[in-house]
Amino acid sequence: MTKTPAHPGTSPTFADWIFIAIVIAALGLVAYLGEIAYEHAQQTEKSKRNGEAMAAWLTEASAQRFEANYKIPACAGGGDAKTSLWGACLEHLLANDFKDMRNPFKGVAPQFIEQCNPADKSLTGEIVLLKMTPTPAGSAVSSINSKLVAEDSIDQKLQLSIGICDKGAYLVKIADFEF
Amino acid sequence: MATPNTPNNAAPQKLIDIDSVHAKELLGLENAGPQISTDQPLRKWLYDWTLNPNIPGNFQKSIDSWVGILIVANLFALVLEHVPALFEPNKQLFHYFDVFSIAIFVMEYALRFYLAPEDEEFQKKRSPRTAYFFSPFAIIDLLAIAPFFLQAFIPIDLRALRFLRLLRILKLFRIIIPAVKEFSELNKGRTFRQKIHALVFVSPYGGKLQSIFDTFIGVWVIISVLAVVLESIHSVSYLINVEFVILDTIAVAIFTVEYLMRIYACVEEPRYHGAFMGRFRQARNTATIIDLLAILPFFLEVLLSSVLDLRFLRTFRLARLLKLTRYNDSTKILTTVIAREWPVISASAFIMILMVIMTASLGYVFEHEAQPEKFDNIPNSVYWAVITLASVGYGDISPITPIGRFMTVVMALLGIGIFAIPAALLASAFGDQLHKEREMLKKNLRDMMKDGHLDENEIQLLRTEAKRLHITIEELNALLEHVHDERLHAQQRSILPLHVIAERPAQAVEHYKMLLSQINQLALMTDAVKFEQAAKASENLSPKEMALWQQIKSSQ
Repeated sequence: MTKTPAHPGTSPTFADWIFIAIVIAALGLVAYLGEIAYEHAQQTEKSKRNGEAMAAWLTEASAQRFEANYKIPACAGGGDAKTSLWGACLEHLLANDFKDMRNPFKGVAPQFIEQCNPADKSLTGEIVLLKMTPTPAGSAVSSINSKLVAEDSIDQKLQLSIGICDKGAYLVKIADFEF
Repeated sequence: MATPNTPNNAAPQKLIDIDSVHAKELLGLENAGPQISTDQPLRKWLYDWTLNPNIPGNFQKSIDSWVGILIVANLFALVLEHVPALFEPNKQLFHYFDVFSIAIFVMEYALRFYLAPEDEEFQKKRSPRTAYFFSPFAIIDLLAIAPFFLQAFIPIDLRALRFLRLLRILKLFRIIIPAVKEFSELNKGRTFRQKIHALVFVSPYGGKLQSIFDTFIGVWVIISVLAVVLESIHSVSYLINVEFVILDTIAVAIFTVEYLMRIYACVEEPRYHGAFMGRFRQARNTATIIDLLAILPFFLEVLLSSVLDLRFLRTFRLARLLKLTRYNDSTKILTTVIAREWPVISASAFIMILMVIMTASLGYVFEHEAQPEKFDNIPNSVYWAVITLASVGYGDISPITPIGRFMTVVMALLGIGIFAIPAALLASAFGDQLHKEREMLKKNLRDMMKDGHLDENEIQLLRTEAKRLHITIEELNALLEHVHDERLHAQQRSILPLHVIAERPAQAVEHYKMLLSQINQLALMTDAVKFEQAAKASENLSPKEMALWQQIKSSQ
C-alpha cells in the first residue's frame, strides 16, 4: 500500500493525454476486431441457416417421398435403385427450392463436401452432407459416415448427417436426420 | 509489514486499548449486534435496522448488496431475452424472474418512501415523503418499476418495454454515486495518474469505488470464463455463437483498458518508479502477464486468422480465471515457495527425468522385441515410463516379458518415492512459509501493540492478515496475553517511554514512587561529601537541584 504526495497540478498532463489516446486507440482496435469477429460469426450463422434449411427440407420430404405420385420424382423413394439417385435429387433441389442458396463466405452456391479441413480455408461455408451406414451390432462405432455422392441410391430410407464448415473451416454439426 | 497510510483529511482515529479487548472483538467476530434500542417508535426502529447507514451491523449493507446483485441479474436477463433460442423456451421463467424482481424493487421503494421521515436527508424538509418522492434516486427507483405496471394499462411495444426495463440499471447509481463522491473527496488535488492509480491499485485513496472496480473486473472474469466453458458445449454454442463473440469483445475491451490503466499508473507504486523501467517491471510481474494472456488470444486470433489457425488460443482465454489470483495471496505464497525451494525442486526434477529416461530405455530394451508396435523406440516408451513411475497406470501399454515386468516392479517402487519428492517438498515448504509469515505477523502485532493500543488501520491490517494466515482466536488471545505480560514486565522495568507513563495517572504515581526510591537509595549509598564536591566542581547541578538533594538527604 502506498501513499503518494498530491501534485500541485491536477489537470491532465501531456503524458495523461497520450495515455487517453492510447486507451481510445486500443478500444477502437478492439471494436474493429470485434466487428470482424462478429461478421465472421454472422457468416457462420448464415451457413448454419443453409444447412438447417436443407435438413428441414430433406426431413419433411422423408415423410412423403415414398408415397405414390410424389410431386418431385427425382427425390422419390421406393423406386428402382439404379435410377433413383441422389445426384438427380440434388440437381433438382439446387435448381428449384435451393436455387438462391449462397455460401455467405463466397457468394456462390455452396458445395457439398465430405469433411471440413482447417488447413484448407477454401472450404469455409460449404455443406458437409454425410450418409450414415449402420455397423453390425457389437461394433465399436454405431455407424460409418461417408459422403453422400451423386451415384448413391435414394430408393430406400437414408440416415443422413449435415453440418457446415465455419470461418476457420472447422465442422459445425447441424443435425442427424432421416431422408 | 507497513501499516496502511491514511489520507491527510482523514478523521481522528478511534483507538482500542489492548488490555481490555478480546481477540474476537479484534477480529470483528464478536457479533454483539447493532446498537438499536427497542424502546423507540416502530418506524425509527425499522429505519435503523434496514436503511440507516450509520449503524454498523444492521441490514443496510446487505440490502444494498442484494439489490445491486438483483439489478445486475436483471440486466443479464434483459440481454438473454434478446436471444430467441434462449428466450422462447424459457419465456415463463423470464416472466417469473421479472415479477420477482419487481416485487423486491416495489418493496424497497415502499420501504424507503415509508421511512423517508427518518432519513437525515429528508427529515428536516416540510414534507419528507414528498421530498423523497422528487429526489433523483426515488425517481430512478420509480422508473425501474413503473413500466411493469404501465404495461397492464397501456399497450407498450415490447422493444420500448425492454428499453424502459433497461432503466433498472440506473438503480446502481445509488451505490456508484456515493462511491464516486467519496473517491473525488479522497483524491482532491491529486493528479490524473494518481487517480487512475487509486482506482486500480489498492491504496488509501481508492475507497469504495476501488472495491467496486475490483468487483466489476471479477464479475467480468467469471462471466467470460463461463462463456468459454459454455462455448465448448455444442448445443449452447450452436444457439448463441454470435452472442459469445459480442461478450468476448466486451470482456476484452474491459480487460484491455484495465491492463493499460495498470501499466500507466503503476509508476505511482514505490517499487515501480521510473517511467520506462518501472512500467517494464510491472509488465514482467506475474499478475500483469496473466492480464496480457487474458486479452492476447483475441487480438492474435482475429489479426492472424488468415495466416495461421490460432483457434487453439481460445483455450487460453481460461487464463482469465488466473486474474482472480490478484485478489488472493495464496498464489503469491506458492510463487515465493517455489522460488525459495527452486534448487531442491530442480534437483528432484533432474532425478525424475533421469528415472524416466532410464525406465523408458529399459522398457525399450526388454519389450521392443515382444511388442514392437508399443515399444517401437525410446521416445515413444517415455509415455509408458511416465505413466508407470507416476503410479497412474492406464494399462494401455504394459510389459509382457518376465524381465520387463521385473524391471517395471523395481522402477515403479522407486518412482513412488522419487515422484513424491516435489509434492512433499512443496507441501512442507508451503507450510513452512505460512508459519514464517504468521510469526512475522505476530512480531508486527507485538510491535503494534507495544504502545498499549491499536488504531483502526492497525485493526484492519490485523483482520486482513489474520484471515490470510488463518490466525485463530486462541492464537490471537495467546498473543494478546503475551503482549500484556510483556508490557507488565516493561512497566516493572520502567522501560516504557515517559509520555506513555504520563498518560496513565496510576502508573505515573508508581513511576514517581520508584524514582523517589531510587534517589533515596542513591543518597544512602553514595558518599555525600564527595557527591557535593563533584557537583560543585562540574557545576552540573543548579542551586534548586542541589537544594532538593540536600532536602532528600536530610529527610533520611
